[in-house]
Amino acid sequence: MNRIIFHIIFLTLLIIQPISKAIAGVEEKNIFLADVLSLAEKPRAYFIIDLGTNKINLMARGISIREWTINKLQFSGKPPSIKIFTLEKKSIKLDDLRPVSTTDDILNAANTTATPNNSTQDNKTVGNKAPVEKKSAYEIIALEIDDMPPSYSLFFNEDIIFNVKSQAQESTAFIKKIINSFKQYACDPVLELWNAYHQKTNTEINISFDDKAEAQALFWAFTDGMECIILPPAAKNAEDYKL
Amino acid sequence: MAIHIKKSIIIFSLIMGVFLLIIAIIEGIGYHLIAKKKSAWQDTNQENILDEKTVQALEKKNEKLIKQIQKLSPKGVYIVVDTAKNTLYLKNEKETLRKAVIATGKGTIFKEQGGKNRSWIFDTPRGEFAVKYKLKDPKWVKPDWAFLEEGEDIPKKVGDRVEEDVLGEYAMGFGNGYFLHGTLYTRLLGRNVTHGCVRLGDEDLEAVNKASIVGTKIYIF
Repeated sequence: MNRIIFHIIFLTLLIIQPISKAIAGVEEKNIFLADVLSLAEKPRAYFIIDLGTNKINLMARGISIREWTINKLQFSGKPPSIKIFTLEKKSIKLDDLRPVSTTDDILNAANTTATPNNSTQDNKTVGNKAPVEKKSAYEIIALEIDDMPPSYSLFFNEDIIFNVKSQAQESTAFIKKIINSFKQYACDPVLELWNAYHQKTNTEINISFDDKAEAQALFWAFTDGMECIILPPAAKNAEDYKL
Repeated sequence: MAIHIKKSIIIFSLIMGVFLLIIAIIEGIGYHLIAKKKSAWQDTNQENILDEKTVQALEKKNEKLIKQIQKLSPKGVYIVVDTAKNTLYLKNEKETLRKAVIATGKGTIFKEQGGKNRSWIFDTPRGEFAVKYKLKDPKWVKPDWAFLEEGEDIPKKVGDRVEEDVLGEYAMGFGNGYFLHGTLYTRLLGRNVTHGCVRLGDEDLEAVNKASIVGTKIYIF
């Protein structure tokens, strides 16, 4: 008799388990869609970072206007819940990269052209901005995609950090691989124990791109205060989240 | 002497053994924690078991939400500007009708020293915009920075600011003095060189002008 009861309970549990997962999916999707709607109602672009399909989508009004494919993904810490996160800061400030010129520079340049032997001209830095390099008349002084960093961190609220990297060049790839393996197998467990001891609850997501330009373009597209939704890998039916 | 060396080797081996054991325990606990967190990443939100009615209600809500989101998406032709790649896409729903090489804001800071001590950031604005007005054979009314950049005095008469035949055949204003317009400097298309406007080549300008109407949405990132 006991055996029969055990079998009934066992079979019931087996049936209930997948159903409960599917039901949880409906609730998750509801939260996700409500968040997407609130973002799409604003006249600003936002990101949907899908860690299940390794895709990052820049969205506006519910449509994707740019897509990135993550080549390598690692995560540690507490998994983020499905909700809206805000980019608080980037490890490198865009404003620090901007070239600065002044009306005095233009006057000095004009004087230099008139007297080519003038060697007393200096490259002054205005405030904490980068100095404007004296370039030839045909060289463009601009902030372009190549000036963006290929490795950086994005800091979101609730202690969520995205570390973005691009794959190393072939010459340094081997050394970097050794360092990464050492970090992964020797340092990370110790670090994990340390974090657990100090009750740290931050979430770190490491993403890397094969193409350096993709990492740079993501830095370019992410502006301070931008909002995003992070879909954790647990949201297995990622197709369901497509609108 | 030999016994002394043997003793030292045994003590050293014991110390090393204990040391390696501690390392192994630390690494083992660390690995266990990593594995535990990894499974948490793969397996969230499984505790909520809802009854059938609630599930059906949620599914209905989801359908409604999807419709609401779809209603917000642009209707008809819209323009997407990628300022990093200096590329403009003319789109209709998911279809790309035209891809154009453009020039966008150079991202520099320009400071006026003396005078009014003003400063400008030459960025193409980002976000959602719409074509507000369309012009044929537009004339450029040069702003103050254009004179300051050339080391010239700012004219007092508006008429002295007007420059013809520099903006191409058409211009589409999208607010705050920013335009999609043509250019004389076609060799600079594909670069970040403008003061914020979006420059297009002649053929692309004509196509975009033809396809867009007042109200056409522009998404710039």
